[in-house]
Amino acid sequence: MKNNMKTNSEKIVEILKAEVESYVDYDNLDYMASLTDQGVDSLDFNNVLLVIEEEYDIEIPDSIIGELDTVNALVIYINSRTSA
Amino acid sequence: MIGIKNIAKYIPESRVSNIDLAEKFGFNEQFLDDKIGVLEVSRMGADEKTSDLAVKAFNALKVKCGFTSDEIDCLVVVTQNPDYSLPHTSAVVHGKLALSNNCACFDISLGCSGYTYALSVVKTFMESNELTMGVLITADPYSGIIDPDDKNTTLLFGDASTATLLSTNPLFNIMKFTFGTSGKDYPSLINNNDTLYMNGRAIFNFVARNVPKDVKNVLRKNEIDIQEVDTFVFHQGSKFVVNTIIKKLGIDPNKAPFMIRNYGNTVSSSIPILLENLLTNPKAKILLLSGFGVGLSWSSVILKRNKV
Repeated sequence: MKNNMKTNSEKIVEILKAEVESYVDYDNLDYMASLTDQGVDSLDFNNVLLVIEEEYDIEIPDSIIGELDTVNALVIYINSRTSA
Repeated sequence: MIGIKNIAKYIPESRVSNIDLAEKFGFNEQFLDDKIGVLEVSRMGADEKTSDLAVKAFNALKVKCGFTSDEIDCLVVVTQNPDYSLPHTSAVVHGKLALSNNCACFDISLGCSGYTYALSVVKTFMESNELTMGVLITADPYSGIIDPDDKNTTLLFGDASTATLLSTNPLFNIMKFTFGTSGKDYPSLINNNDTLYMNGRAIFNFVARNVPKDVKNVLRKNEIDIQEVDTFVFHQGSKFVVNTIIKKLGIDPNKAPFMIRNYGNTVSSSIPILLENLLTNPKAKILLLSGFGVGLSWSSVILKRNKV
């Protein structure tokens, strides 16, 4: 895999389920709403970003993470960084 | 062979409550308890210096072990918050304790990996020079460089010191070490103009990527299976950090204690504070120590309880 692998919201939710320790209501997860507001705290989010970096072989700079706080934003960002 | 004979600690009584600060930083108590794992941090007195913390740990060790100051032929202080940029803090401590003029003294400048590194340095130094009774002190109070408005550091770091007696006929034998450095990442944890800065995400990534690998490396080097380790003594960075290492290694959480709830991350003192509790537990026969942090730097070692 790595770097030529596209993602989608289902894959991101899989990562969230595996890595986030805090309670998140996945049945009603809003892909366009803030993950922070839906229960993902900053430490869990850092861990999610690390897993994404390793899974997709990309580096996510600190300067952009504030813009990646939704499932959809993560999908769009990852797909923009990985080749077709 | 030189090994660990005994350990004593000094944790200042004064505390700052994180619960009182939680609202200011937008955290709740559950987050503090479950993720950071620190409800209050220890703070040394305004008139105390690093050498004072060191002296208190040394005196606690002396009471515990019953040695005389004249017997100590090596004194090493691990700190990056020395009393002065020069002289070395160990000399100041030597003076305050009125130790023998024949006692070798030097400092080691390392942070959270300092205890494991120093065990290697002091053991080798003592054995090479036929010294028989050394004291390794960790005393790295961060309170003087913490910005009280910085949530990344003020809720985490506490002040403390420890003193480890290293001698022949030890309680724990010191086995093989591993060491590592990622110097390109040094800005992630730095004292800039007397203010501590920590990039929490960078430190977390560093730990998650390097420490589990280093633990496996030190096990391989010592030819020990991970199941044989009775207790993993990880640097107590935060509860989330320790839990991440536990998860990545797939080890029993009961084998990797976390207990800084009432005083915080005490830098190079965190490992010996935990280790002190294990000295009197006969079931703790094989220990794995792993320190990581400032530098960024890491080091691990295996300890084996002496059969005698």
